[in-house]
Amino acid sequence: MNPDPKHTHHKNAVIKSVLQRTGKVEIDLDDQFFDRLHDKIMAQVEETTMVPKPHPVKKLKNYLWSKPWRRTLLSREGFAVYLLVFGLTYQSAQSSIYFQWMKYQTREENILAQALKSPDLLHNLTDARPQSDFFVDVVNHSMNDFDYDQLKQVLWQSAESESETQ
Amino acid sequence: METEQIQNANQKTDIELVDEAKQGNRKSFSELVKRHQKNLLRLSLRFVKSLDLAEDIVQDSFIKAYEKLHSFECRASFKSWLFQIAVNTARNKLRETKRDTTDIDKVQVAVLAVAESNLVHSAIAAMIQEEVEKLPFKQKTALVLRVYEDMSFKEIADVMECPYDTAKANYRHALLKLKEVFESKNDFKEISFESQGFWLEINQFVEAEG
Repeated sequence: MNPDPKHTHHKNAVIKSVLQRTGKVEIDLDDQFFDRLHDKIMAQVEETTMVPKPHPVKKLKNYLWSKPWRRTLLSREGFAVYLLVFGLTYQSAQSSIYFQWMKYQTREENILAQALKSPDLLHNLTDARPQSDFFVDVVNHSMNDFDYDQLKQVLWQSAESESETQ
Repeated sequence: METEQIQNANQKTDIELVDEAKQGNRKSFSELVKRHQKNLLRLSLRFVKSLDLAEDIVQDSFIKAYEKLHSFECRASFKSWLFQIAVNTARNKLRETKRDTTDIDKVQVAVLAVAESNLVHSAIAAMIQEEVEKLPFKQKTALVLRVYEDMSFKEIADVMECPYDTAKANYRHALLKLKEVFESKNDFKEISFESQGFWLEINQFVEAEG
């Protein structure tokens, strides 16, 4: 096998040419044959009635059912697949929200833990954020996670750093 | 008067004739039959080797086309639409009957006049046609429409009621399969090796493939 695409392309064209030259169907039939065929067709056409223009709704229904894959999508199995896909997507979205929330929680807790260890960091935080917001966050987290001593320590340290700045 | 009408019908496009036929003008449909019956018969003979059966396919296709003329919305050409009906009819006929005899008196698989006397050419032609016959229906349809009817892939896709890429893939698979067969057949290699002139002649007809 030659991997060169030009070579392959050339070969394809050769095969096409061979096919064209060797497979020509010559219909060795006279005009009378075709006149007869035409008359036969038209005689049948005379007896045939044209199907009226399909109603748009029926047309859509026919269109939807005209291909096997569309039929599958609209079938019971297809509906089950929809449900499965929807369920998985929903589950994955929920997990994603939960992980984001966890990440956020962990980040906030890290900040608070660091703040407990270092009064300087606490001082910077109170400077960088509005004091009320910071204390609301602290209280919010503390209510859930900190015990009374830890909470007291954070508040005391931040109050102390505040008085130092003043 | 009648001659004038016939001349007018000759000048009209397929779409104009279809519109008139939709309004009940049977003469317009008659003109469409005259225009396309030969092509349709040739196409049918690609799928069935019996002239009678091919004739049946042509008749059935035109009748179906007439019946469903209102559902033709000019998205594709009338020829493509008619070919689509003919291909489906041929497939159904093939399913119905396994009859596949060649009416040698009236149909001839013709190699060019120069080549006719050449046994080498005839042997290759017979071998090729044999392999084409073995192809799956969709691949054969794509090959027939592309090679023998010289249709674009867009038109082939319309006829086969499939996406453009699928039509192209079917054609390529058919070519690939034929190529593999030719490469694996020692007889073909020997014949083609002996007839260098034949290959040179073919190369003159090599054309770019899109």
